[in-house]
Amino acid sequence: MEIKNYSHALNKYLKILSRMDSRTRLIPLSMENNLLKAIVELDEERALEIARKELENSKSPFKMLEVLRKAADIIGEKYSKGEFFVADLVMAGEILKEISEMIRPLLQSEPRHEYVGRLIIGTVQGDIHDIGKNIVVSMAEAAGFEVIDLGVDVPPEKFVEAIKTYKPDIVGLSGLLTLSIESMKRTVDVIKNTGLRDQVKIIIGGGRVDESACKYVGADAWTTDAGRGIKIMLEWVKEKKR
Amino acid sequence: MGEGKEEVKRNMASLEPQETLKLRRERLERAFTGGTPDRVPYTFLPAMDLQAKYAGITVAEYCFNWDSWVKTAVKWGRDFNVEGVDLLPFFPPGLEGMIFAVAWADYPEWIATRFITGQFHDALRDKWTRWPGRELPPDFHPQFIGGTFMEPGEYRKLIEDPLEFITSTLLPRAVEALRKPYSPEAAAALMKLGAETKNFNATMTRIGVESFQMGFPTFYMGYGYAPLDLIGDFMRMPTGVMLDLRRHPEEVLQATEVLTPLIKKAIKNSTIPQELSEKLFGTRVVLVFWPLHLDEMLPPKLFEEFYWPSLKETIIYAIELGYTPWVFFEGDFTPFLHYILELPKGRVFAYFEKADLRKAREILGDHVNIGGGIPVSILMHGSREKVFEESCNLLNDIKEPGGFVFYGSGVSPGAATRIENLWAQVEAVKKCGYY
Repeated sequence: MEIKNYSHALNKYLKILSRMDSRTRLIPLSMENNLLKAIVELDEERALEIARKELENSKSPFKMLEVLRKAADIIGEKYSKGEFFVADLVMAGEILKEISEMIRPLLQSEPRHEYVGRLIIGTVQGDIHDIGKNIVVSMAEAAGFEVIDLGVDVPPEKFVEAIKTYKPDIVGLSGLLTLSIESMKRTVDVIKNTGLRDQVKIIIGGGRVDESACKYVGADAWTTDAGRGIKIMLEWVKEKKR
Repeated sequence: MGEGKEEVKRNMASLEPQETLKLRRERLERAFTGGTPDRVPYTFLPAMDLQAKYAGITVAEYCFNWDSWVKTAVKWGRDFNVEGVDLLPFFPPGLEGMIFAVAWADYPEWIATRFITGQFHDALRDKWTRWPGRELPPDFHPQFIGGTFMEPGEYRKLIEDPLEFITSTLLPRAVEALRKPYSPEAAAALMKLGAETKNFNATMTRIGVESFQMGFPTFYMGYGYAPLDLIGDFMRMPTGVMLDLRRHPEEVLQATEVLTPLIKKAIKNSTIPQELSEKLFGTRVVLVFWPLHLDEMLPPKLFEEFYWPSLKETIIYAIELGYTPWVFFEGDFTPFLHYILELPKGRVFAYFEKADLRKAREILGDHVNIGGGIPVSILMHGSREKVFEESCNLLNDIKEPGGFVFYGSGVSPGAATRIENLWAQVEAVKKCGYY
């Protein structure tokens, strides 16, 4: 809930800022706020310029990582409230990805930083669509998750193998086609049968999922909304750490 | 709920097929054009994997064998030829191929290629689609994947001469067999495509005749498309267009403008005159099909500027020609419903995938005629009782003041569907569908 309050406050702040003409601004914006504002306004050119300058100056990626996290949170929130649409998420995802790629080389030289949790995700067997999944991947990475993307048309056995190898907190099953619901159910059943169900939370997402599909599949949560999905996952990892 | 399949069938037995046909046709004509029939017409559109499973064959066998099309259509038609079902529950197995209908719009004999079927895919080896028994295992559902076959820097070329760009640059990139446009390979592929087009037409005629004999009416359907979707689906990928709208807005807008006349030509050349339709099918209602893809994924500002104006122009053009646009509003169109009020009253049939139909009725009233149904997860996996109840509630809530076709669900039910749930809907229509 802390995250929610924070992002509300930030949103409000950004709204006030956006109403002010730059000449009338009394307090100069910090790099963080400037970057955050550019990302949330989907101003790609400006966001990349600020990020590039900041990296030249400070060489420290952590401040920027934090901004990306906040940005992903605000963007998700806006989508949930109906202020943002899929095309906005795709643009935001692209900006987040571009900045993450700028930061990546610097992160490798830093001591290993801590992820908020580990997610394995894939489009289930029989379905080879990945636009929705890719949106979730870029938003989850920006929100601080370590994401292992298994790709498309992933058979249940491959999910099981990945659970054994990576020991994730969360498994994300994605799919666009109607048949993906059946495939999600098969995947959850195989995870159950191999005795791994208690070790992971399972969330399903995609155009055809809803409450009744979630029950049928045997997942812990469902979403058609990447932002809401990230929020659910953040709450799960928070709960787990308690 | 007590009434079973057998009893429903017996009710129909008293009518001759041609009387049934007339009754069903009038019912649908009224619902498509805004009248109040005796009851809400009902049918469902089974997904390709459900069609195949029900006919007892693999999806691959279904998709690549013309005889299987006829057998499958007849199987569904015979089993569901009951009071309560008004259109043949069948849709030919094909994926998006509108780019061909646009590229070859001057040659209407090629219009069958509007949908890429398995056979057309074999002839052309297009890179947009993936098929069971080819790139996918035999029981997979065919899938449209698209691809990036044009770079952002090429919008200029598309704008300068769209038809030339599509035929000389885009098709060679996206269609393996046409990679060298004047090569023997390309010529052979087009000859094969021509032969398969003939087979397609013959197959659809056979299905039409079978359908007629069973007492199911036929409504001729031509093809429209949203100009921006043509770019998203066949040239840049939907995600590519979403970025282009912000990075190259002027070029994208101009591209939709130059594609609009090509789509209008495809509409004109893919339809038949109302007089001919009356002669062939006994109805002056000629439908034009639009599937909308980027629609609700765009924020309203971009929708209003880049998607809606050119789409609206093509829809109004079809109305001016006397046709009835049958527009598939894909995704959840609820936040955009009010735009539909800008279309001429009573002239459009709006089929909703996931939009809240009650809300649609509330906002749109009788401005458009609507189609859709209950959530597909309930239709496929819910209990028979739940399906009956949901269907009845929906019918009661939105059937007034007419102009409604109940399609079971806005999404085609897939292979895992419990067939008894389709029968529950038949019963719901009979109980709650009468005006």
